[in-house]
Amino acid sequence: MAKKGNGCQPPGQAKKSNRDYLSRYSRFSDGDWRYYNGYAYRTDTGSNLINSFLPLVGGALFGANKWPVAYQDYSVPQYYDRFYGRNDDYGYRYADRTIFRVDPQDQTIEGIVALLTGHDFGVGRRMPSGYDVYNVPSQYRDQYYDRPDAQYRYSDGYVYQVDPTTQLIAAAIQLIV
Amino acid sequence: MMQNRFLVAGAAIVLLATTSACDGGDNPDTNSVETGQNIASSLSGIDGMDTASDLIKKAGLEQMLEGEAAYTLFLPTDQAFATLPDGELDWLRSDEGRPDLIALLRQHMVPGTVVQEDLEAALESSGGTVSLASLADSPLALRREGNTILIGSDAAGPQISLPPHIATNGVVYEVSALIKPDS
Repeated sequence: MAKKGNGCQPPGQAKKSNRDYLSRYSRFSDGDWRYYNGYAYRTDTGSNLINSFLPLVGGALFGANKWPVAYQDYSVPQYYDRFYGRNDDYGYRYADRTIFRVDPQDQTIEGIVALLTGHDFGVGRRMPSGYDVYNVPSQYRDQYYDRPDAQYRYSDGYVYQVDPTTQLIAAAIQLIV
Repeated sequence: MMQNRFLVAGAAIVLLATTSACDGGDNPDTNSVETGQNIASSLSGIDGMDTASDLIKKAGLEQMLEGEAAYTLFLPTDQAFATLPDGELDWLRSDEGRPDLIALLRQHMVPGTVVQEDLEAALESSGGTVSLASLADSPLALRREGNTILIGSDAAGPQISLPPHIATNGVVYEVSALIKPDS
């Protein structure tokens, strides 16, 4: 797990590092999560055994830490490699709606390159809520502008063509070929 | 789960775009201040945004805000951060508090380039309220009250200062308070 401090010590035995997570802002705000060395975990109330143990973005998942061994298959699609990574020599990994740049040799996290909404998009599906306002990036506005028969909305590296009447997605457009 | 989502989107890809992302582009909002820089560089030049700029660096989000992808930020002013309870800012700046800081900042960010002109037009056509998908768990509800635009339903909620700052990869709006998770 995390390699900092007493990284070999099981979370349940760590005393000084443990604290209630007390997050006001994240999904870990429901009260029973605790924090240990960049991970959030919670225990079963009966057995006191750990039943959830997650690396946190900004904690274990942050620059200079090694990518967690248990998350090795969290590669991103090639398009995201091109769009967010510009086809450079780094590796890119995904976890918790975040894309990280990772050194392909030693798996050290180099940084966060994107935060995503994580919404489900697909042609024929209804556009998720939250796209009431035209938001296509400046350099693509001449190409993708709202018309009576089509709306265009940007999210997570794609522009989506949406039917204004049904709000169904008609096309998912990659911005880099 | 995420990979399934990628597959759904990937199966329906239409390769239409050919515009170079380096072409720049005209300021799409004549009311706004064009910075001529990316979001990360622009922040250090905006008065009253030192705390937000510092926290974005602490969160390790500079690289992202220098990148190709577009974001619109609704960032609290220094005055707004000064109203946080004692110790809260220190917690957000601490290594242990960094996950919380990133979660907090996600609530202040939406995907894409939302300029004032389009925001005002959408508010007008929708009867005064619009929803913006955020990078956190729930969307932001923006509403017009008289000449002001507010975030959330609280009468004393964050108020958006206009005009925004237009960066090469997105937009920065100054807001008068922190955006709460249920906004």
